[in-house]
Amino acid sequence: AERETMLLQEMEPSDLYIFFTKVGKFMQTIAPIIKWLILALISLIAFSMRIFSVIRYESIIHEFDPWFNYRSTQYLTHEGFYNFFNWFDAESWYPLGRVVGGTVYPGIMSTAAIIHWTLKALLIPVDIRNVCVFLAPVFSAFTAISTYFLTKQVTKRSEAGLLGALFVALCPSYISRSVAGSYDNEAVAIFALVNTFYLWIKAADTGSILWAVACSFQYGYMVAAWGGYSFIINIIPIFVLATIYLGKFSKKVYVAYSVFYPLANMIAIQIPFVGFQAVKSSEHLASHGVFFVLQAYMVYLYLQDHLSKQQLKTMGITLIYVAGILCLFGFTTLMVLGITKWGGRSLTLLDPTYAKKYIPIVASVSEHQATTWSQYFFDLQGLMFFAPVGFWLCCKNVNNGKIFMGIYGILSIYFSCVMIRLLLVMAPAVCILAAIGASGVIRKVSKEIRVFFGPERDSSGQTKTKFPCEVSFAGLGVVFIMLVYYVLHSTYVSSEAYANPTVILSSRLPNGGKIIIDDYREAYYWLRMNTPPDTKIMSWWDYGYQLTGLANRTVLVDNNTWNNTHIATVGMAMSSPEPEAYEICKMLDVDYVLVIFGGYAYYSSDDISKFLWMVRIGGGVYPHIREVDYYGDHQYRTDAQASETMKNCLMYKLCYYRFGEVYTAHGQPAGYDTVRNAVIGKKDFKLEYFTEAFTSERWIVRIYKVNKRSNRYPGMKPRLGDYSETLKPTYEKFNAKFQRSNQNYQLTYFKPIQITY
Amino acid sequence: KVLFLILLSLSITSLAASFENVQINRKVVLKGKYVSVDISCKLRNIASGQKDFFVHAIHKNFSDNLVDILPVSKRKSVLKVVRQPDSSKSSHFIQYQIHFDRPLDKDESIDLTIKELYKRRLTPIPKAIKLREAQNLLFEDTLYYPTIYPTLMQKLVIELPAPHKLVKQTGKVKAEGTKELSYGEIANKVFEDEKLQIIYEDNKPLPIFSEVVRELEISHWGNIAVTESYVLHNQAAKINGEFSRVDYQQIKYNPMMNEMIGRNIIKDLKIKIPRMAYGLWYRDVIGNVSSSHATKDKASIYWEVIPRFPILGGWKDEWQIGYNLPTKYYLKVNKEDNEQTVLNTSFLHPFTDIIAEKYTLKIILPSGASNVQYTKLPFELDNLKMDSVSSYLDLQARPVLVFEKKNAHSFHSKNFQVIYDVDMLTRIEKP
Repeated sequence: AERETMLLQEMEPSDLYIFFTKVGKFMQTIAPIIKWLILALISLIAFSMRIFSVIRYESIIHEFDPWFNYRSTQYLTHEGFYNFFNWFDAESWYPLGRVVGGTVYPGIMSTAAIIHWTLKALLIPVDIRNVCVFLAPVFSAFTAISTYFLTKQVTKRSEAGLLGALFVALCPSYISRSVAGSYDNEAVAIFALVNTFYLWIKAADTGSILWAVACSFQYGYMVAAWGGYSFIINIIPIFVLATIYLGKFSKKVYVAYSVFYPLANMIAIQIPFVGFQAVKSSEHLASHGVFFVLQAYMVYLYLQDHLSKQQLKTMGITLIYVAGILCLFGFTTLMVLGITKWGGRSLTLLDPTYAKKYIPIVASVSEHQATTWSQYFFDLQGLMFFAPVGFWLCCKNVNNGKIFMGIYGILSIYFSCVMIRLLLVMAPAVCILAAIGASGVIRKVSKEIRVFFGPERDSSGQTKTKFPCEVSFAGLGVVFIMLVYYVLHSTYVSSEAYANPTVILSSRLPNGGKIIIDDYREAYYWLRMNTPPDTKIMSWWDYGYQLTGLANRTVLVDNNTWNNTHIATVGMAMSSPEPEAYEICKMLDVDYVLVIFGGYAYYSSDDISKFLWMVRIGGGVYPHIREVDYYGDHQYRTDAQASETMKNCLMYKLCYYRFGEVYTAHGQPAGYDTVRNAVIGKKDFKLEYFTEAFTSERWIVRIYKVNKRSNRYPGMKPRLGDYSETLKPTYEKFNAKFQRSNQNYQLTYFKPIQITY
Repeated sequence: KVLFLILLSLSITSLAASFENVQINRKVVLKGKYVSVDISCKLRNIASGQKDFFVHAIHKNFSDNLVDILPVSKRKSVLKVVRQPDSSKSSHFIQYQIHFDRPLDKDESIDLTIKELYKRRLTPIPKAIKLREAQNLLFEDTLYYPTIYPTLMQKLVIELPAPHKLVKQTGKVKAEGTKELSYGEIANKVFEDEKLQIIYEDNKPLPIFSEVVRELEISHWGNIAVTESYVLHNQAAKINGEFSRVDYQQIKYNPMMNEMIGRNIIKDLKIKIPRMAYGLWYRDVIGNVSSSHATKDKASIYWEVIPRFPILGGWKDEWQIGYNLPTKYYLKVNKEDNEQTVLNTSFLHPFTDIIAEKYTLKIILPSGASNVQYTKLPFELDNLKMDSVSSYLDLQARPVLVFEKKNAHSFHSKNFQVIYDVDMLTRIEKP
């Protein structure tokens, strides 16, 4: 090796140049192979980057929504498609139930079930759980491949495509939604989204009906998979309008859209959950409008060849006015008549303050909050610098693909500002723009370097570089370092921040060891094992899907927040004083109440932290619950300064029952809440209407049994609560006595009541 | 009722002629998780001819609880037991024929011991207690030895847990020691059905498996995958009122509390598995259970299986454990016949001290295995069948040998062999 370097040093620059040209030539011949090899490796990285959680923990479904998807996939694989679409799930939304078949995007379940069945037919029986867990990483690998095609279609350069694929494969904001176990709609939807865009640009570029049809079917899959499909059905019409506005309109675009629009909407109608919304809802209005505009524009183009300029102008203006007035009138009528409506979430997108004002339940979800700058940096890192460059390059040299990417970029950045979860929609856009930017910079810089080493020199012996070669080298170096840091950052983020299954927590010991905190599953499994199968459990809606999935018990409310009143009733129960809460529980036929309490184990996302949302949502429907009543000393607190309403509400009591007897932190008195950093305000109290049934090892899950109504007058004390075996003889004796002498009964048992009243 | 008694006495007299119980010593052991009764009896043939068997009776109330009867003759040979077809259905007793190892001549006496094992015979009283309260168990039996023969002399001793606290008992106790109750020598009539009730303090948990399935999947590429699934119940007293973590977690911080709080709770189970085992796992339908430890020494792996939650009285838990065994210690290929393979395994699961009410052993042989045989087990099986299962890359289903046994317990922890043929080609075909 040393000799080789010596040789290289001895060579003239021109020799070096020739050497590199030869190497370059050779590389060019094997480039296609290397290209595919790199793409395969990128897909492999995309997959392996997302399985940290399986290695750290186990092959388990994460978070909340995926538990429902998993449960319905299990149902689908056992019962088949027909029964799945007719499935009435009585285990959730007790006593209402839920028609799952008509209220679900079946894309992800069908995908997993089909993969499961196919593998089984190929003699590889894979447990449906593992199919579900690994679905997202596998689809991320597919996304990387389709991003390659999309970027290549936009830039006509495979190196940009490869960069795009790499960026998407490693993009933290995408990783956050597609780690192994994160079995949610987005896992397959992002693949469908990118692929639809690729096929659309292909169709718009070629004007081929075949590609347009392919695009429509891919769009159909997207509709089946995720509610985010409305993004596509809006961005494509906007793109069509933009081509007209920018003068890039061609008949190819016309053909593509005219095929795509009817076919795509027809496919969308087939999905039970979407149905005629595809025609009626305001989210789809743009697509209808643009279709008619497009036809009118084609007529205009046709007339252009046959009419004089003056005639055309007059006619055009009249037509535009008439059409505009008609559209406005029609739309207003439809809105007023309520035929077409904006969904709450869509309105939140258009007016970011809408949810906060009108639908607290949408606002209460952490992923519906507005995005912060740090979140952008955390999720995109280096891409934040390349994407504007890419956007500039898109604007500089316009074609169909670049217009599309420009629109996609701008729109998705706006949406991502409104809601954290839409960072995900932005991720592919930013990745592709960044790939365009980065490959543009690299191309420019490496061209300079090539020229610098090249044989062509001017008279003074200088090379014809545009700027000093040091700048080029520095530029290349900076890009290289940024790419390296991006990879490092992604790996770090993927392994540390997004590899937690939520159901299982872990904590580091001072000696570096890791302990698994498995309280959720401990309690859920206890419910599964030691409660009757028809037990009804009341908890805040966050845990609904997990309870039905893990504990296999009936819940009142769950993460499919379709019935605000029902959720508000649960919120009211949680924020009412014990006797009233008991009556609500009895009214709702609740057997157990489950609360999440983190004050013992430093677990901050517990029910006390979420409690204000319960109050707000409850108060939204039942006005006697007022948020101010729960503030002590003008702020939300649980210590001695907490308000009396707070101290007496069910949530407070269930969380802190007997907590005043335990020592949690060194040097602090008993009953020290480690999350709120305060000693609780109410220590010695007994529960009259609820009995502690189970508390997990680290107190995170606390389950209370709703006592049976004692067969005595409700106002009487002491309450005997459970009709237990030991008390049975007493009751029997009492009943026998009662039958013998009603008078005697009244004398003995109504006396205390008269005193209390 | 009178008619019944007449019928009963008639049936007795017809049989009574054959034997007489010269001396019966009954010892009821209440120390363990289950009730075991050791009966040593001296029998005399008073019939006119030779007798092959005598009739041993068990009270009908306890017949469902009976796990096993094990009669052993003086020469330590296990005798054959056959359940007698129920001749008099109204009888209070279930009768078993115990066959002698050699016919008994007229007027000849024989000494033998009968070991009986019962499950679910200790009832907590009251049924629900608080976490700190002591648990009382009720044991019921007949005061006299149930027999259809005249008994000349009998003795009953009840062995209680070492520092016992007797709460209540019926019957005249002759001597009460620190460990046992002795009811002295009693001469009695036949079929005397007098109840004996003992309530004593005993704080142990009462575990029982309602179902255990043990699967061994054999791969000729070097691995035997063992999968065992369990359903465990705790028969001890239920919790009265709340199960409070505050009280329960005191055990964790103060080991002294172990003797004070929740003594009838199953906190962990210790098992021993072969030292060669590797890749231990412990999970249930919702995923891994992370609370268990295993240590290894030269002979075996000691595995402390800790359930997700403490199993209080009346609670249950279901789980699966599994491990892999290298084939070189358990599979032997016949040197003369290369196709014949011998699997050597234990019949029982590793939780040997807990009774499994329904026990299934499945041996999944490699696909293409034929001519399956197994060596005889020293006890009878309830069911034996061949099944088949399809797994990874199976065009041809794998044969499964299924053994079913009700009430499997430590006695059934016996090694046995399964012998089958697999040709070389299928052996290397797939894992």
